[in-house]
Amino acid sequence: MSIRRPVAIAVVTVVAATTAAACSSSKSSGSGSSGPKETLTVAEWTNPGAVDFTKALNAQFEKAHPGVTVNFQNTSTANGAWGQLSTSLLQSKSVDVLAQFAPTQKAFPPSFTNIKPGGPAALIEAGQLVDLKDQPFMKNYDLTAQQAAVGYNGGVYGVMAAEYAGAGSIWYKKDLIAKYNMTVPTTFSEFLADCAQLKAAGKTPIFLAGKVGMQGGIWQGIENQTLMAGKQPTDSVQVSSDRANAFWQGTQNWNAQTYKDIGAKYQQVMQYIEPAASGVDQQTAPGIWAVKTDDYPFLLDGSWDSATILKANPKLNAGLFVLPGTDNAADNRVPVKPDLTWVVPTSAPHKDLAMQWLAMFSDPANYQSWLKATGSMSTEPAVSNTGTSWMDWLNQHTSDSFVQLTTPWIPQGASNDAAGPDYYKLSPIGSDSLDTILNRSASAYTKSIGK
Amino acid sequence: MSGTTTMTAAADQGPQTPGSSGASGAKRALDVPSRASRLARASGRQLLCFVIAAFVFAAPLVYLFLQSFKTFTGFLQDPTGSPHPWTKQNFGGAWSAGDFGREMINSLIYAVIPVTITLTLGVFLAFPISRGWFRHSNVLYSFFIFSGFLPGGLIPLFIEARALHLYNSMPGYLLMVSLSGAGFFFFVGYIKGIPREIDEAAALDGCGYIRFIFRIIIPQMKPALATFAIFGFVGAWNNLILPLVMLSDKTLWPVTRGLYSFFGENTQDWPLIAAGTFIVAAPILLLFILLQRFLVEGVAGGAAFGTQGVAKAAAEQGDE
Amino acid sequence: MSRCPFGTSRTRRFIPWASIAIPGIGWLLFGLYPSVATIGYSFTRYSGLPGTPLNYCGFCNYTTAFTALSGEVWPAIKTTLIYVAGVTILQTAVGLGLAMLLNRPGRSYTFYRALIFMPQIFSVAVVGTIFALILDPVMGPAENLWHGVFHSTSAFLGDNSLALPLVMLVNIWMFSGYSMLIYIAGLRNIPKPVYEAAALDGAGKWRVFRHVTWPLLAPATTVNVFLTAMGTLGEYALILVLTGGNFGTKTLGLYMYDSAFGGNSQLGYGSMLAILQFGLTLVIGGGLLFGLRRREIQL
Repeated sequence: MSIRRPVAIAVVTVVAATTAAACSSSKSSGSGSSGPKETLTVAEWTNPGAVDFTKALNAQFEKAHPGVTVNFQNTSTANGAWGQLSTSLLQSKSVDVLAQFAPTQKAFPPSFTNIKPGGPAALIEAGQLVDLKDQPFMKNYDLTAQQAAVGYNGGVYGVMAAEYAGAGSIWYKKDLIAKYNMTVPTTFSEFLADCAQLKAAGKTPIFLAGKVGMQGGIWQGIENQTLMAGKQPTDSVQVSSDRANAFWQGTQNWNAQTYKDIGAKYQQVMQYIEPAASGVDQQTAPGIWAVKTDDYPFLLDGSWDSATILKANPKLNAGLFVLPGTDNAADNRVPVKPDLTWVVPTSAPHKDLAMQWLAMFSDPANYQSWLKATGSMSTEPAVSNTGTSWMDWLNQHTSDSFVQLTTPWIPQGASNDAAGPDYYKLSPIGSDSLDTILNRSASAYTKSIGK
Repeated sequence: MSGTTTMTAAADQGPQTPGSSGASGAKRALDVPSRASRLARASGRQLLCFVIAAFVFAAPLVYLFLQSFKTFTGFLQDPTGSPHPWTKQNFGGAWSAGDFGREMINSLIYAVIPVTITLTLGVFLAFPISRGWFRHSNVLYSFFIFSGFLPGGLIPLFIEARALHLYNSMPGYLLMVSLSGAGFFFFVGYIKGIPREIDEAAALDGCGYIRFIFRIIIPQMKPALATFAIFGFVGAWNNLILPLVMLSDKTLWPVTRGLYSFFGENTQDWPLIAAGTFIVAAPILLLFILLQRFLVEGVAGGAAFGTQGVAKAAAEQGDE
Repeated sequence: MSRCPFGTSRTRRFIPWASIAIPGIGWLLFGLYPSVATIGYSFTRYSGLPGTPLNYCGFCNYTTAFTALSGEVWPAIKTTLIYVAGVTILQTAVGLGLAMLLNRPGRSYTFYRALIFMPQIFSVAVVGTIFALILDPVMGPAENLWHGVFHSTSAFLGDNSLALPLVMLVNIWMFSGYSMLIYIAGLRNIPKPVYEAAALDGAGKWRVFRHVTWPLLAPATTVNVFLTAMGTLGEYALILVLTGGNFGTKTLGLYMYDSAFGGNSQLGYGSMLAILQFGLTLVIGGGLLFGLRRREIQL
């Protein structure tokens, strides 16, 4: 008998809901009378600053193009939601401007490797994305950087709009290190000495989210600067592909002395991290770090988290520098990682509008506020992220920055070890020694390429 | 139905009703020591059960709930403590940021209609099989069971939905979800427990097949159906990926879809996330409180086997 | 085979078919077809993205998985087996304990049962959120507790030896209410006279449990063990939100998810792993059913 009440409730709600739905659908179809109406669909994954900016830009675009509505789609990257959404939008041929992670040149292995590209690289190779190289707005961008990020056979298949200092980038508390008479370190030894001094003063020098592998940033920072030592910043794509070739040919591998040296430095830095860091999630790390003003002078995290850090503690006087990985200050340059890239699918129903949207995005004034909102480094030579106080160090070091090196080509189904050291298993986060890890990676790589 | 009455009757004699113990205590004055020790043991068990239920099972949920009353900075400064100052603004913030109002109604539609249709269709599927009306009913039955463990395929399903014009439409989505959930062949076992003689008698009385199912069989299966309804509803309500992929129009979104954009925009603001989570979970909690007494009966009646099937199917759809 | 008693002599033959037609067709369209397509994808290097080539390659993915090339499949299967065995045994035991404790009349017990059952109505994402907060080594309450007991710190989900047990515990926390319910259903099916006879024999509590309750609960145990094992075999969503598959928690299900949808969207390889997963499910499920049924008869 008592089941009747919930059933009745359910019935009422269904009836109410269907009528409500009917109302709303009739409303939306009724507004079609005001001349030809077009809908531009823009989609990106959710990042706090980027979404706010895109919403504002969409409003601006609608104002400038009467009769056009922008349908903005976004979802979190968690649980594969973003991947599913972007695939289904492409599949339904309904998206005009779509955000993708920059594939970089590593995603296009030479044909002798017999590796099939995935993600955006697969789309580019299959001719599913529009070549934007000759679009007028592309003049605003640095062509070399764009080609490194989304170039393929001479074309440029997207606008790489955001790049971040990721490898070895460290947030620091300006007031706290000033208390110990320190300035931003310029060499590896100086950085270690600073850490030692801070530790002696009872501080835990470095905070990081080890649960998601942020410690890899230390390794990658040192690795990038070491391998790029003495090279021109523009050589970085070549350095990456030379290394990939050397690995594929079997003349180089993970157990080379270079990587042993890099690993030794990594472990020296790692002795200064928060002891329980391996259980800290990236979802909590920046917030906790920002409110603990009297401890954790350094946070290993990318520049993309600026919005979160400032929201958690607006009064914090924070800055960002890149870990100096070598003892030659001139070699300690900033590796930047291409990130969000706008692409226009060939199936886009409104390509002209898409180009106009991208042109509006690329307008220096708009791009400036994009940089501010996302904490990205500029990919437009004429624009820089000057308004932000935490970016002071970065702004002085952008001129000689280089595109972050990419890993060797790894065939599908290969063990993760083949792609480099496993930072989760390497001590002090894990329990394996450096030699064990590097030998394991080397043999996994050799196996994966079938040699 | 009879199960319900016994349960409520038993509940009235429960050990924690103080009035009844006083009255019976006077009659059996001689038993006092043993009665006292029995009471002590009963309350000891009560205490143990309370501790387990509250501190092991409910505490983590309460902990999250408490976070939703903190400010972001208040949370960061004292994550484990109780909220100070208390604030209700996270609920307001989450509610308005997520456009949860309309999405709640959509979610209700996506949960109630498919569950109702699937349950009905499930009975129609299960009945002939459990009565052995087909030449190889057993083979059919095992085939259905094992097909439940086959891997799903979201991309082929999506391509198919586009071809059939079910993409980005509420009726299309409802049709797809209602039909794909035909996993209720697990009713088979339950129906076997309903005596065959009823069929024969009804047929002799000239009762039609459809009327027979609705008037005789479905009422008999109430506990099983209620159990399934809960799991089906929960699965449909928590489903994220299918609506994400199949519904691109904002006006069609269910509440989980909105929540996902919301999570992404406030990745680290735990109090706000906690508030959003509880807003979304509130309707399921309510439904659970209303129907939970049927769960035990439904499971006891042999629906257990199927329930997991539903939960699993729903979870698969939700997670892929 | 028995006959349908409904309808006229002419319609009688068609009623059973008409009855299963709509759900049957729906299942073929939206249930079986996508699964069959997945089997098809497992023979390709398809990226899963529209407009990209299928790259048919025969058994390439299968050979990759079973030759020396892959260092991931075998460890993933091993982790899966540990996970399934651990969760199944513990969750069944916890469910039994709770059922024995809570199978009582009374509103308060109804309330306790409801509380214990409640965690599973929340989505996995929510449960993941809760435990990420609780188990945070810097700002979670678990840290205070751990420090109080062991006077040391722990990284919890970031600890190579603790992560897998912790994920298993969260899984058990979430679903043991269900096992409890099945056992309660089983206990209610045991006729009262059986206990009365045992009491007359002067059997102690433990002996009654050992020789009366436990054997008579065999069908409930079968259902619990089978369902828990099948449910945990495919588990990946919970692991994904708790550890991301790191620190020794990468099960076959998570590996499949990672390959098909994470990073480079290699649907072909991921589909092959889904088929492997299906095979593993068949073997374990079949074995369990066979073993459990035999045990029921012996008891």
